[in-house]
Amino acid sequence: MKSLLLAVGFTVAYAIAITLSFRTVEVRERMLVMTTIFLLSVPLFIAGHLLTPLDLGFLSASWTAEESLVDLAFALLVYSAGFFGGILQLYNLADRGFSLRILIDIRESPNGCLDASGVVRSYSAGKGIGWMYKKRIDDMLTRGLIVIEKEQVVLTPRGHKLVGLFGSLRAYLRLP
Amino acid sequence: MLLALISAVGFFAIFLLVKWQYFHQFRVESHSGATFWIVTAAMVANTILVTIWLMTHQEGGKLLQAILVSNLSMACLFVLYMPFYYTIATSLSVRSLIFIASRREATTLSVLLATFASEDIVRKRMQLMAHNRYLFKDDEGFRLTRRGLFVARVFTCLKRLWSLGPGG
Repeated sequence: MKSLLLAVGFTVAYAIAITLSFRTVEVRERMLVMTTIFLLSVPLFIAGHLLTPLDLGFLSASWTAEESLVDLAFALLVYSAGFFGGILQLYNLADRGFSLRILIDIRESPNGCLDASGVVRSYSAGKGIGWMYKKRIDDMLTRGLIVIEKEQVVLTPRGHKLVGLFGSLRAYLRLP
Repeated sequence: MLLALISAVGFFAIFLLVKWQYFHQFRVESHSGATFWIVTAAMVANTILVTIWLMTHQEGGKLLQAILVSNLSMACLFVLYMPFYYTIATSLSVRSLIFIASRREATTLSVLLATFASEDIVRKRMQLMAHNRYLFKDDEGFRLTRRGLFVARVFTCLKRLWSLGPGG
């Protein structure tokens, strides 16, 4: 149980730290900053686990792990899931979620109702759906997946590799 | 505890194998529904195995802890896996890259915009959201269901808390 308590404690502390930093500092590459802070916190987390007793001074024997390294592995798994599957996913959804933005735009529309053409125009507080897609294009350019040559969008070798991987996975899953 | 972790990893691997093979063999209507049932079955099987093992090895005193650790480990692996799966299944960027690779003629920005930033794409997404009960359709257009309103409210609060822009 020590692993669980430690992982929950660190995840809450991380969430508070990231909230304070987002509210006080202008962060541009938020995902990069979030991941870096998480990775920097991992050695602290490991030290915290190794330096505290297995029962934390109050856990009963039936809730205390016998193998410290196995307990540490479990603790790291929970902490990683809390970050990569929890906080980082929440951020991704909040800042980039397509469906979520549609929900918020409908909620903020004057009569709480939009059709597809209304969403195309009013997407992301009036920026429009074209803005959303250009943001994706910019991301793909930044990550070196595509280049634009003479107004044509061309895949880079890295883009081709990614297409090979994801294309075969999509084909295996029979995704349309 | 080690057994609980090994069992969780093993059953998670079985979940992945079954799910991917099932999706490969059959045309699945509801991906999230099928995934939910397969992972639930894997967790039940995992719980049964851990229970039987501990009971037959006279370690019943640690039973609750072992079941919790094992199923929580499976849940963590699931939470780590799902973003990867959704990137494969729904990412607009991934679909755009595959689209560019599949075309014989040149792809311009306007072709991409017409394909992926179109009313048709938005309509299909809204229909999917209606299918998943986040929206419902009336004569004027799409409205939020209770579930949709709840999600919109929660994330509007989160956006405010983290000082994020409109985004999307």
